[in-house]
Amino acid sequence: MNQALILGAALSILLPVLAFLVFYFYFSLRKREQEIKKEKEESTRRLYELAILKELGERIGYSLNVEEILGLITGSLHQFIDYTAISYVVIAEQKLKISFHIEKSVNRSFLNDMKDRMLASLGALTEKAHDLSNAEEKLSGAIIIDNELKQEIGSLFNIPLVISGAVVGVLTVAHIKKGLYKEEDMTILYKIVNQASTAVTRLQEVVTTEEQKIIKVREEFTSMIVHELRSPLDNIKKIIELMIAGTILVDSREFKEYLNMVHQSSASMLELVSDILDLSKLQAGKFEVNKTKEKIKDLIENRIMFYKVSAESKKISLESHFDVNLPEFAEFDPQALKQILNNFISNALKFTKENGAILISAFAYDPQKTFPEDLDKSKVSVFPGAKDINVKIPSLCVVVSDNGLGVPENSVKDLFHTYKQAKISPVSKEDKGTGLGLVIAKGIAEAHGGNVGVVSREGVGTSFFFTIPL
Amino acid sequence: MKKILVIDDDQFFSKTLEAALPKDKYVLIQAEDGEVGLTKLREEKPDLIILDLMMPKLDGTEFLKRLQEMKDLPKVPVLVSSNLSSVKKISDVMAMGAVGYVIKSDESLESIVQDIERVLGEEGKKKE
Repeated sequence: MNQALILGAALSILLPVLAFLVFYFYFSLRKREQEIKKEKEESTRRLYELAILKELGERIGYSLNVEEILGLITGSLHQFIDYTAISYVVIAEQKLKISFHIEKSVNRSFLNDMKDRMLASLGALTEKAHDLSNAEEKLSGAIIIDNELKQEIGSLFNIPLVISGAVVGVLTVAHIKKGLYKEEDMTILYKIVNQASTAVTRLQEVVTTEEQKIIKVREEFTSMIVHELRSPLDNIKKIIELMIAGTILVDSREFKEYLNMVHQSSASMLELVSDILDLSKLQAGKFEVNKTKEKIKDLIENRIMFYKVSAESKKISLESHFDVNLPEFAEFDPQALKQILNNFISNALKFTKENGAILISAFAYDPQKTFPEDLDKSKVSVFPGAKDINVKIPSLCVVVSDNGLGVPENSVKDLFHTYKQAKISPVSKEDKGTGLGLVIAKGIAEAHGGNVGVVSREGVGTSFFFTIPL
Repeated sequence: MKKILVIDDDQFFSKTLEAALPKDKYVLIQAEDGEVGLTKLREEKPDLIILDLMMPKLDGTEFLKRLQEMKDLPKVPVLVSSNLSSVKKISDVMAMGAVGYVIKSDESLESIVQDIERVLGEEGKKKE
C-alpha cells in the first residue's frame, strides 16, 4: 500500500517532468524544423539569386538594349517572387516605353494605379515630370478583367534602373495581397537590377571608347591618304614650276634628274590611285575575279623575271621552289594573283637588307594529309606551318619568304587591316607605302575562296602567304 | 648666309626648295626624319626649320613636342610645311610654337620662299 503511494507520488512528480520533456523536445524539433525550412528557403533564394545573376550575365551578354534586359529580368522573376503584375518604364529617345506583364488577371484600375505609382517614382528619381502623351504601352500575360470594381494594390515596390550614373527606368512589382514583399525580396531584385545596370554601364563605356578609337584611326587613315596623294602630285607641280621659271636649264645634268623625279612621283601616285580604286571595288563587293585554268609555275616565274633586276640592284637573291606535289594547273584569275605576288615581292624587297634572300615557294596542301616536309627552307628562317596555313580544303599555297627586318609581334595583326599600317621603316627611305596592298591582297584571295596570312619574327624574317582552293 | 634645316622625308621637296632658294643667301641642310632633325639642329644651329608633319620614326608633331620639352636645344623658329590640311592639325601645331603653317600643295615654291624670307626677316628684327 505504502509502496503504491510512494509510486503514485513519484509518478505525479515525474509525469509533469516527462510531459515537459516531451513538449520541450517536440517544440525544439519544430523550431529546428522551421529553422531548417528557413535555411532551405534562404539557400534556395541564394541559389536562385546566383542562377538568375549567371543567366542574366550570359543572356545580357553584349546587349546594350535596356528594354531587352528588363524584359529578361521580368521574364525570369516569376520563379522567384509572387506577383499579380510586373511592369517597367524606360526612357528611350525622349519617349517613355511602358510594359506590363500580368501574371493573374486584374482589372484596368489596378494597372492604372500601378502605372501612376511607377511614373511617380520615375519622376522623383529623375527630378522631372515625364510627358505621357507619346508613351508607348505594351501588355502581355493574363487578360484584363472588364469590370468597374476597384482593385487595390496590396503590396508594391519600385526598383530604379541606373545606367552610367543616370536613372533610365523603373521596375515595379505589385500584388493584390497586402504585406507580401519582404526586405530580402527587394534586396535580391535590387541586386539583380544593379548587376544588369553595371554590366550595361561597363559595356557602354567600352563601346564609346572603341567608337572613339575607330574615328581616330579613320581620321589618321584619311590624312595619310590625302598626304600620300598630294605629295607626289605637288612635287610634279613644283618641278614644272622650276622649269617654267627657268631655274633648271634644259640641257643641264639637273634637268634629267628632275625628269626622273617627275617620273617617280607620277609612278608612285598612279600606284596609289590604282590601290585606292581596287580597295573601293573590294569594299563595294565589285571586284571581279575571272577564273581560268592557269599554270601557277608560269605565273611565279614571270614575276621573278620582272623583279630580278630590282632585286639584283639591291643585291638580294630572288628564287623559287616548286614542290613535287604542286599540280600543273589551277583555277584562278592570273591578273589578280599577279597583283598579290607583286605586293608580297615588292614588300619583301622593301624590308630586306643587302645580301638578303627572297624565296617564293608553291605547294599543294591537303589538311586531311600531312604538311609537305620537303620544302626548301635553307635560305629563309621564318616559314608557315600547318597551323598557320589553316585551310579546310585542299589548297594551293604560295609563300613569299624573306630574311629581312621582320614585323614586330604587336603589329602583325594590323597588317591586313584597312585603316592601320604597321609602323616599320623600310630599308631605304625612298621606299614608302600605304599598306593598302596587303588589304587588297587579302580581298583578292578571299574573292577566290582562299585566304592570306603572315608569319614573322622581328629581325629574322617574314613569310607572307596566300591560299587558293584546288 | 642663313642656314635652313628642312626636316622632310620627301627628298623631292627639299630638292625643289633648294633649287628655288637664292643660292647666295641660303644654305639648305636636309634631315629625313625628326630624329635626324634633332641631331642636325644641335650640330648645325640653323636659323630656321622647315618641318614636315608626316614622317617615319619621329614625326613633326613629336618633333615640336621635343623642342618644347628639351631646354638645351637651340631656339629656332619652325615653319611647318605639310600636305595635311585639317584645321585641327594646323591649330594644334601653331599652339605648339610653330611660327607658320604652309600647306605645300596650296602654295607655289615662290610663295614658300617668300614665307621663309618673311619669317627670317621678323626673327632678325626681334634679335636686333
